[in-house]
Amino acid sequence: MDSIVEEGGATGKGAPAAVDASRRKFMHRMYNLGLALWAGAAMGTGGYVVGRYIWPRPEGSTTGGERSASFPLAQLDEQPMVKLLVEGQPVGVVRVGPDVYALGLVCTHLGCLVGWNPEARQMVCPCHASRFEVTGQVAQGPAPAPLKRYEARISGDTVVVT
Amino acid sequence: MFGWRKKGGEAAYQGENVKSLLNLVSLFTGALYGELDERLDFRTALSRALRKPVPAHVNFWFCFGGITFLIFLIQVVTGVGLLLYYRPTVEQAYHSVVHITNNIPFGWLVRGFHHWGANLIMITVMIHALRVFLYGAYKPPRDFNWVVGVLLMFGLLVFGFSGYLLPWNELSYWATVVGAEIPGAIPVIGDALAYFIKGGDTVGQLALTRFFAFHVVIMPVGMAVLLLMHFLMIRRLGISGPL
Ligand code: HEM
Ligand code: FES
Repeated sequence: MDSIVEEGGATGKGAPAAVDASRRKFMHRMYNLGLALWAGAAMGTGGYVVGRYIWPRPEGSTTGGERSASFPLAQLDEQPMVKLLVEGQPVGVVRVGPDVYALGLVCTHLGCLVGWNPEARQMVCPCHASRFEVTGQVAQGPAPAPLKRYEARISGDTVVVT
Repeated sequence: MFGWRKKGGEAAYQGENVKSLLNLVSLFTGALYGELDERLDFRTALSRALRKPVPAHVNFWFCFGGITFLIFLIQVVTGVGLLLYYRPTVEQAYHSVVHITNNIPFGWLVRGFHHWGANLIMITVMIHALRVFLYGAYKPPRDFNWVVGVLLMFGLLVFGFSGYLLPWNELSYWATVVGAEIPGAIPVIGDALAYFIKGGDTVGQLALTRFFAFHVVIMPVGMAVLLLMHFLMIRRLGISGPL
């Protein structure tokens, strides 16, 4: 231990210099190995994160989520409005007579979620009382634009919304 | 050093092929180890630059300038990362930020670093300035570096203010509407200044575009120049004395 400080046994006591030199070399190797492992792990993790982040994905330009959604037609017998997500956006499906309609639920005024009023057959916004027809058309302001219209198809006993 | 000169002959050259392939690696590690260092002696240069004795009175509070710079570098790296997906238009800005946060792998991490870094850097720069003040380190010959430091701090505020609008959500929109009214209160030039900042009478696409230009191009370049001056002066003048 004492002679590690001075290389070549210059302290004049203790073990021969060769032993100390190899022990020192070993310690150096271990130190470098540790450093290399740490750097490797850091670079590996960092590289993985950066690689995943910058690699383009086909759906890179959309908001993500499923592009279409479906549910059993019978569900419309139990609920006046069926809510689901299309491309991550909330959509409501309602039935008027024989037809089904699918509308984006985000109010075009300030973005509250509208609800279905079966008696009036209109979407009504709880925030500032905008009203929308089942086609999405504005029936009453302050909403400046119609609700987003989605396509709802009845295929067999399921409803498909795109 | 310069041992590579001695290696002559065809056979030796053949044998060196594999090694020189390996040496490609030292393009990256080579600044400290191996061939590149042998030729260019980076190690001496680096140790001259980095192995500078620090006076004994230097304590933890002296670290905050460096911590501020570290966070700034993180902002640069993560900011450039955000640029890969961010879209600076009124229609798309918000959706692109939501998309980064929710859909891009590790996008939440990149944005999170940028978001929290922007907040943390304000705290660290304040502590740094407070330390300089309390130690009297602003006095000549370091007075000009204090001036540069104040400019840097204003630069960070402009960075934060301009970046805050970029997500184009309710909070950032109204923060900008209110924030642009503050310079509007300055006598005589106030109205013109507010008009210049907003790029018009109201906060709209033009405001977003110019905030974006300030945030990602104009400010980074300006800050780089100021930072260089700051650091060169520190090197020339040294660390100030104890309390
Ligand atoms: C070269 C440097 C930088 C680039 C390229 C850059 C780029 C960006 C981009 C593209 C955004 C929009 C994405 C988002 O809002 O999450 C952003 C937001 C932001 N930036 Fe930067 N930035 C840089 C440096 C900085 C610095 C130094 C600060 C702090 C002082 C800062 C503060 C902010 C803030 C507060 C936001 C809003 C963050 C949020 O809403 O989550 N940026 N930046
Ligand atoms: S948000 Fe729907 S009426 Fe205002």
